[in-house]
Amino acid sequence: MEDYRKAFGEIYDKYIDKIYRFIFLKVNSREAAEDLCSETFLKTWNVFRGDSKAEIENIQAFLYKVARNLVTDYYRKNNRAQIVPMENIQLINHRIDLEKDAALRSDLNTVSRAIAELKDDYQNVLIWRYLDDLSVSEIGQLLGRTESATRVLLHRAIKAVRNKLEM
Amino acid sequence: MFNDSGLIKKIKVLNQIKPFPDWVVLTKNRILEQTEEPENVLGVVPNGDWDVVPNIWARLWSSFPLKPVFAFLILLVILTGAFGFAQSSLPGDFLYPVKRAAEKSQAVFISDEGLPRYNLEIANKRLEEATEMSQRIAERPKRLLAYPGELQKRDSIISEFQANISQAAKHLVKADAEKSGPDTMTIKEIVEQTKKIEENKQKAEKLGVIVGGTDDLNNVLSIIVQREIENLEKTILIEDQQAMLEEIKQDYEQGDYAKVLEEILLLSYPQP
Repeated sequence: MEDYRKAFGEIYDKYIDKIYRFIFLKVNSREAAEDLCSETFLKTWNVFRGDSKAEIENIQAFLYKVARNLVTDYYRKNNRAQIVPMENIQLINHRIDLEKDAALRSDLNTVSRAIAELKDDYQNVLIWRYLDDLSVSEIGQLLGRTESATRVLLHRAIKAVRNKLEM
Repeated sequence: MFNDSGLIKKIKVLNQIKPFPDWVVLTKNRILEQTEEPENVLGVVPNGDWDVVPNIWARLWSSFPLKPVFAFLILLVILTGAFGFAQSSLPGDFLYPVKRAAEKSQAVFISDEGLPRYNLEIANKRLEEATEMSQRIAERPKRLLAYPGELQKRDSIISEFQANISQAAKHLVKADAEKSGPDTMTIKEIVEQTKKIEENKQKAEKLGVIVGGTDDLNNVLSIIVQREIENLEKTILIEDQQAMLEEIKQDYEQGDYAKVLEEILLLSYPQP
């Protein structure tokens, strides 16, 4: 069991930021993102240590799949996410001055609002490609699409978010 | 109007979003503490004779007058046990630092003559550890395999193995330069350790571990073997011994220096 804990601990450290950000950008609430993110890892841990007969072939894909399902359940219960301002959001760089901090939060607000208003697949490809640095092939596997279909989807997602930002 | 690269730059601003560090740590601990209910391995009824064991202990402790001595003995048993268990520990295990500390403390008492043997012993230990780690990884279910840090630890162990081989070779060269070669006892010990290294190397390589060569050591052994052969050639040998010497020379050409040294010892000091 100790081996499993160590291994999963490393998986947690590697993916926690990505999964949290993925969920946050969809639900736009820190509390909800924390709850759903912790639920994602808990469910994955239970499978990982062998509580169910399922095997995890690709841990990254599994985590995203669980996260997406939980977000879908969340939407069902709470309607689509409300856009909330970024005042209470943890940012990486604590040392920037107040003016820069305000500018950064304004940018974050604008972009996250634009992405939150997109449909699910567009959100996913943008987050995976430009924030999580996944390859087109990896994104295709996550979505169950071919590479060319994924490129087309990405192109459409970029166009959609550009339209939102220019409105 | 945003071009694509400007737009992507805007999107990447969202990389700034991250969870609170305290929450990350608390959540990790909470998740990893999830375990099944512990088995009732004692098979003891919770409110029956469960008090018997603690009661016996309490009576023993209170009636025993020499508590400090008893406490010292317990500590000694624990430490001995810890050292004992530590010998089979691997990198990443709780007692592994104890094992390494014990090795370092041994090194203080090693004489110059004993250094080649000591280095080869330590090299063997590192190789055994790398093999054991690979065995552990290979026996796990597919979903587990090796976690990233584990492979790095194994690679570090292999590097230490190679460093110890080089050290052993260096000390042998030094011994060779200072005297006319290592003494019989040292040769016997080197043969033993070198054979062990070869066996462990084969085990490790079967599990996919890239151990690397032991060229430094082989080069030094080659020099020692050559000198021993030259010494034997100057000696008067009977017919059987001559035949053995010819075989030894052939084996020397094959490069199996540990085997050759063993044969030289048999030739020089035949068993009754």
